[in-house]
Amino acid sequence: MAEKNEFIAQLKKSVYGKGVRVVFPEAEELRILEAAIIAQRENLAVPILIGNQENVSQVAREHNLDISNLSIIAPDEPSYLEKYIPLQLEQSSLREGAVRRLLKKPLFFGLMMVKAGDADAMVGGAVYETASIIMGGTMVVGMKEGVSTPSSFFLMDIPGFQGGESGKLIFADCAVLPDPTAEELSDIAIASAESAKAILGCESRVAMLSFSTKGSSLEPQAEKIVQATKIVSERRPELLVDGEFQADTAIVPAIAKKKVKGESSVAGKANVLIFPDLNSGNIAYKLVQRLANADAIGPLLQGFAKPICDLSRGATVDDIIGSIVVTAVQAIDR
Amino acid sequence: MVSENEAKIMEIIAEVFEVQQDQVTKDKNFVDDFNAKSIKIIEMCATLEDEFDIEIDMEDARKNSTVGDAIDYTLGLIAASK
Repeated sequence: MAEKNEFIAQLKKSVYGKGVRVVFPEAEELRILEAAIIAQRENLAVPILIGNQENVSQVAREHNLDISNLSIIAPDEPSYLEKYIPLQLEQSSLREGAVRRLLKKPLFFGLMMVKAGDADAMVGGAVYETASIIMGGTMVVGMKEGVSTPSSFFLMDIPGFQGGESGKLIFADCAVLPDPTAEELSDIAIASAESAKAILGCESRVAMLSFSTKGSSLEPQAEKIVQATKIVSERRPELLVDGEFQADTAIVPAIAKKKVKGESSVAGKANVLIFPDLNSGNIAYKLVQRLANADAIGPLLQGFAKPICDLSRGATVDDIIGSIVVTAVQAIDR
Repeated sequence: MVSENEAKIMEIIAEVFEVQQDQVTKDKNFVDDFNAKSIKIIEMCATLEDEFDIEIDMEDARKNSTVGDAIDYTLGLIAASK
């Protein structure tokens, strides 16, 4: 795992001292508490814990943790609720009592802090299911402009690989959307381009992958990728996106030269790979991880108006710190 | 005979999913019949919580796929809260 730590160490330098306010809706969970303490001590983020003060203090006491420097906010804190309820009422048809009920739930309260600008990002999912984080994020924080579908990506750090961005590639979507339409694929591509820019700090070169390169197959599955590529170009003309490409055409310059006629700023040098569906995306990341000894950081959610991180429920304290750092990096970029 | 609480639950379901009340029958599936997005399930839970002063675990509630499931689940919580 040396590379993973190495890359996270690089990202830690980017977030150090930046004061990114990260809200944690699962403050009563020990791993979250430990990670928040470390994040604050190492100046990686300013943690905001959402939970019942007494319950959080009890967990801390039981494990001999010093939480005296951490900010803990109860989700029924009236000064916040009175500000948040009108905000949520503006964007839903719910009655006020129902909105009040919703916002008293730590997940929704945390998301509302992000929406309202009282926090820069949220890290959750140590206890909540992915579906809850995605639903809550969609409902409260909403999607970024020009994107209507939440999706996810992996950052692949591949030892010995010379291409991509210094041996790193963004893979998407490998965890959320089972069978995206052309429209949804274009959402994934746009969100991934922005994720790559934020995390890798480079210009994104997005390849839309298929089993076909530039019309070599006329199958409808390849046609969908052609459509998706067109939609991305129309919606975001400034993005470097091209396809449909086979995987080798996307990342190997010599193959790209042979298979792609004309100029392409993506062929052979892609740093973002968009897979046609969840089968191919998930299989690809696992094979690269296992066969090439790559580190796979993720899945990380994308497409929301502000950064929201969904942890794996089995995440260790170290994993959570890595996620805090990657999420904080995305918040700095905005 | 439909109880008062059951009738109220069905009324809330009709309101949240924006369907006619006579379409809300126990066999109806939220996703297949009401084309429900997951946000609507959250909205239904929050409205039921407010109406009956109960606590609903959204992750539990998501497993209710039909109107009948949601009614039984909510009636169970109302009974337990008394």
